[in-house]
Amino acid sequence: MSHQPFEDWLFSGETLESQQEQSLQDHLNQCEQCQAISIALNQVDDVFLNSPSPEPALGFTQRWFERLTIAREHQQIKRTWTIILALFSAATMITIAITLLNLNTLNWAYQLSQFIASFSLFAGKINQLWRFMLSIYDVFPLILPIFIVLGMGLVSLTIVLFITWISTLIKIYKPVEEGV
Amino acid sequence: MNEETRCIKQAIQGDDHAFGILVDQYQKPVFSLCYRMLGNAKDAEDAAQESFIRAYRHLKKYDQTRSFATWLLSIASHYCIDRMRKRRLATVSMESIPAEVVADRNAPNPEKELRVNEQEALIQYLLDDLKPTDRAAVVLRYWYEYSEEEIAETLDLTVSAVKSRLYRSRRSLADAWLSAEKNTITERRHHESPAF
Repeated sequence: MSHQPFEDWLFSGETLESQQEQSLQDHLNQCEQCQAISIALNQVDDVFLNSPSPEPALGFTQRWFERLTIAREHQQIKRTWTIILALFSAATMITIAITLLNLNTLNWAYQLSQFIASFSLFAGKINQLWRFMLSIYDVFPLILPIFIVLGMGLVSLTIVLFITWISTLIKIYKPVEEGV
Repeated sequence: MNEETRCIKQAIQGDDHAFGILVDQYQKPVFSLCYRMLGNAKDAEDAAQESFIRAYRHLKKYDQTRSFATWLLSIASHYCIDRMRKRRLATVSMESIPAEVVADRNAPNPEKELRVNEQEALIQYLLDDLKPTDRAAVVLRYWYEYSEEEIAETLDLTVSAVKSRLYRSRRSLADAWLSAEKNTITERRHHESPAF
């Protein structure tokens, strides 16, 4: 048995013309399957349309005002972070742009050769200094303890100066107590 | 100028109190829509509150030639649809209804309370199989008596898309009802069978 167009009429839920209505009734009297669907849809309609309307708990508007305050605070924090991130991004972009501009004008081969030449010169000077120290040690072995004492003195002086600098900074930035 | 239009104009200027009057006026339809969409009071309260916050934030975009209620329900519907897509709702099984729904003995009429709870569980069971947008269309059709054109406007769909969604939903609702009925009959037969 064909269930069309009766099934379509049932599921569409549209108002039918009187002739269609009669035709549907005739089909429902013969077809158990469509009859079951029709009854099920009527019962669904009945349950939905007769259900009580759910309502919010008392004080909904008051709770909404509280939520609005919190939402505004969150929005303010979000806005602050957005500004900070935007500024940071802008600074980063500018730095990258400047670096890239400088890199474009750089002669890589020349800079590399200059670096190698400078490093070789520096290594040569260190080597010379090392040889000079060895020659002094060979000639005057007694001078070595004097160098050690001088070195230790310099380290001690550096430590004292560092401690003094730190304590001065603490005194400068320490908050002044009220009433003093 | 009526009270609603006056409140809207004042709220656009940043008057919180004026929008508070609108919240007071529309809290029930918005909450009811959220409840039918999300299936429980806690989520419905949260969604309704958030819908009002969004509406207030975007009030300048509201076209005053349109119905304010439709605009508000459109925001709530879209919010609930997004929320439903993000999480899977816990489905209510028909077999578990009698065990889960327990009447509050301190309530003035526990029998009525139980009946309402059962009816609510049945509604949620029927709606649970529907896709979020289909569910919104059904809710607007049944509980708000919206026309297909109004549903289309609220959900940003074409009228033919609404018709197709309502057709599909009614088929699904009928199937769910018949399946629930079948389960209940099987359950009864099982309980009536002699114990060994």
